[in-house]
Amino acid sequence: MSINKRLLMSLTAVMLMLTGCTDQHIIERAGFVRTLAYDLSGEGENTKLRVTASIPKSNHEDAIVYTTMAESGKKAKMIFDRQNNRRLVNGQLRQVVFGERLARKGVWSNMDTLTRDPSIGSRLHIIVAESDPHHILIRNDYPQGPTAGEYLDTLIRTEAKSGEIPDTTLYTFTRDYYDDGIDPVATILKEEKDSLSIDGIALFKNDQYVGKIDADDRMFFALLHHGVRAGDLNVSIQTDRNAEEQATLEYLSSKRRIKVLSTRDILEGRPIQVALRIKLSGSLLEYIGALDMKKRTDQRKLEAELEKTINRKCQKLIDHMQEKKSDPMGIGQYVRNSIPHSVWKQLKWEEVFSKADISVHVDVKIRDYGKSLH
Amino acid sequence: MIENNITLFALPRLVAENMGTNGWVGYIFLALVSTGNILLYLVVYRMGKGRSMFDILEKSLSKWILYPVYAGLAVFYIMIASFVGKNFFLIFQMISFQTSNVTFIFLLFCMMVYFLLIKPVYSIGKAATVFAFMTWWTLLLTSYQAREWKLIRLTSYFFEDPAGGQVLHNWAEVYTSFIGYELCIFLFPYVNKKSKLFKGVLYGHLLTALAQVIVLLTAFGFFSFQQLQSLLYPIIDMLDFIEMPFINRVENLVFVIFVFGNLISTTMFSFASLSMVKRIFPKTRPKRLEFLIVLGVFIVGFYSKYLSQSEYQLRRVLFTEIGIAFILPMLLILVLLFQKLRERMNSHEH
Repeated sequence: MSINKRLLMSLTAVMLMLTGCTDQHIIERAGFVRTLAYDLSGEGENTKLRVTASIPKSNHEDAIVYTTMAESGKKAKMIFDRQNNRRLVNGQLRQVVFGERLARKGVWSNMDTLTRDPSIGSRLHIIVAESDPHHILIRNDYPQGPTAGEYLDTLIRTEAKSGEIPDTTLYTFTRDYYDDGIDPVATILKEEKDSLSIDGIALFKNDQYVGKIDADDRMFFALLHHGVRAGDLNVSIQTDRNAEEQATLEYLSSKRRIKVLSTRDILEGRPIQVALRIKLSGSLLEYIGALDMKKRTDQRKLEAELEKTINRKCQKLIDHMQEKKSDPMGIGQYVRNSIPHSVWKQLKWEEVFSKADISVHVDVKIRDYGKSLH
Repeated sequence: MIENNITLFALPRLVAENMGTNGWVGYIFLALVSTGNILLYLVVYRMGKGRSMFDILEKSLSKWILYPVYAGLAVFYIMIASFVGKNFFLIFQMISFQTSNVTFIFLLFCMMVYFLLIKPVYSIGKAATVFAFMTWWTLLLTSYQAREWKLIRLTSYFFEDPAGGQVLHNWAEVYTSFIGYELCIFLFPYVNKKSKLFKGVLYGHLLTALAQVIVLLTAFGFFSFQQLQSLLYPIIDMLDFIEMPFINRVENLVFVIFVFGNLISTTMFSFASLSMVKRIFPKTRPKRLEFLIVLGVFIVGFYSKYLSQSEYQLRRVLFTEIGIAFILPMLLILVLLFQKLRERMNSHEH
C-alpha cells in the first residue's frame, strides 16, 4: 500500500510538472505588441481597415512595425504572425490609436475584439490620432523616448495623472459607451516635427467621434468632466483695466457638483435646468497684470475675475458639446436619477441635452501667492 | 465555503441581468430567503433529534422507493460536482492557458478531490477552513476599485431593465449562487448536540452573503449598468483593472486562488453523492466507492468541453438543486410530522 501510494504521489508530481510544459509562454519567444493602430485606407464603401502594430525589441531602442490592410484586427494579426519570427501576443498592449477617419465612422466594431480578448488588459489607452497613425508609429527618432509606443505611454500617463486630460482607458471608454447617461471621450494626438503632442480631447456620440475640445481648453474641460488633482491652468483675463492679463494657477485641484434644478414638463420639450458648481483652488504662480497682490481687495478682485473668465470658458465648452449632442460630463446620469424610469426611457437624451439650460457656477480660491509679496 | 464557488465570478452580471438596476437589494432579500431555508433544516434537525435524513426516511418509506431516489440524487450530485469543477477550469483556460488540455488539468483536480474525499468529513472541514482564509483576503482587493467607484452609476431605480423581464425564474437564476448550504443535511450523522453545526452554517452563509453584497456594490458602482449586463465574468474584469507598480493583470494570479473554493464545492457535492451511495451499498471495501464517485465526476466532466455549454449545464443543475434544497427539508418535516402523529396514535391505542 505504501509503495503504491508513493508511486501514485510521484506520478502526480510528474504529471503536475508536465502540465506546465504543454502551455509555454516564453518571453524570449514572444513578440509583445505594445501599440495597435487602426485606420481606414481611404474614403468610400470598399475601404479596408489599415492595421499597424508596433512591437518593441528587447534592446528597448527600436521597434518592429508591421502594417497591412485587412478586414479586421485579428485578421491583420495573422498576417503579422506570418511575417514575424516570434509569436505575437497581446498581453502587453498599452495603446490603441484610431485614425480620425475611422473614429468619425465609429470605433465600436474594432473595440469589440479588445473587450472580448481576455489577454488584453482594460487599462490600455484609447487615442484618436489627427495625423496618420501609421506614421506616428513608424518613426523612431523622437528625442523623448526610443520608441513611439513607450513615448506615447509615458506622455499620456503623466498628463492623465495630474487630471489635465481624462484618463481614457479601454475601461472608461466601454463603461461610458454602455451607459446611457454619458458619452465617452478619448485623447487626441497630433504629430509635430520632432514630438507628439496631446492636441485635445475627442468627444464621442455613441462610438463616433463628433467633436473636439482644443488643447488650450483641456483644463476647462477637465473642470467640467471630473475633479482635477494637480493641474496647471493658465487664464487670460479680459479686464477693463488694460488689454489682457495673464494668471496661472498651478497644483490646481477642483471638485465638481451637478445638480438638476428642474425637470418639469421634460417630455413636452421644455428645457431642463441643470446647475454645475465647480470649486477650485490653486497656487498663483504667475500673474502679469495691474492688480496688486499685496492688497486683500485686489486678491478678491482677481479671484472674482478668474471666476468670471473660467465661467465664460466653461459655458462656451458646454455650448459646443450641446451643439455636438455629446454629453461627456454625464449630466444624463444625474437627470436619470432625478426622474422616473419610464420617463427616462421615453426621453431622447441627446435632444434634451442639446436644449438643456446648463448654468455654471465657479468658485475660485487662491491657496497662496507664491514666495513674492506683490 | 461551499457557496463560495464559481458562480461568484458571474454574480454581478447575473444580478444585473436578472434583477435589473440596484439588484443587490434583491440579493439581500434572497439571502434572507435562503436563511429561511437553512432554518427549515434546523427544524428537521430538532424534530428528528439529530437523526440523519436516511434514518428518518427509511422509518416510514420502503427501501424500494427510496433506493432509486438515492441513486438518482447521487448521480445528480456527481453532475453538480463535476460541472462546478469543470466550469472553473474552462474559464481558467480562457484567461490563462489557452492551449492546455483542460481534461488533463481536470483529471489532476479530480485526484485532489479523491484525496480529500477519502478523509473523514472532519478533515474536509479543516481543509475548507484553511482554504477559506486563503480566499477571503481577496475581498480587500475591491478597495482598488474605489477610485473609479461612483454612486451615480447605481442609478436611483430599483429592479428596472432586467434583460429578460421580471419573473420568478430570473430571481431563481440569481439564487443559484447560494447553493451549497443544503449539504448541511449530510452532516447530521457526524455532529452531536454540542457541536454548533447550525451556528456555523448560518454564520458562514451570512458572511458569504455579506462578502458578495460588498462585491456586488463595488461592481454596480464600478461598471455602468448596461456594461455589467454585457460582461460574462465581471469579477475577472474587475481584477483586470488592478495595477500595482510591480505587477499588473493580477486576474491570472487571483483567479487561481479560487481553485480552493471550487475544490471544496466539488468535494462536498461528491461527499453528498457518497453518502447516498453508501446508504445503498453499506458494505463495500473502503475507498472503492470514493474512487468510483470521483471517476464519475471525471467522466461527467468529460462531456462539458466548451465554456458556453458548461455554463448552460451548470445553470441547469444548480437550478434543479434549488428545488431540491427546498423540497427535501419540507418532505422530511412532513415525514417527521407523520411519524409523530403515528406515535401518538400508537400510544393512544395502548
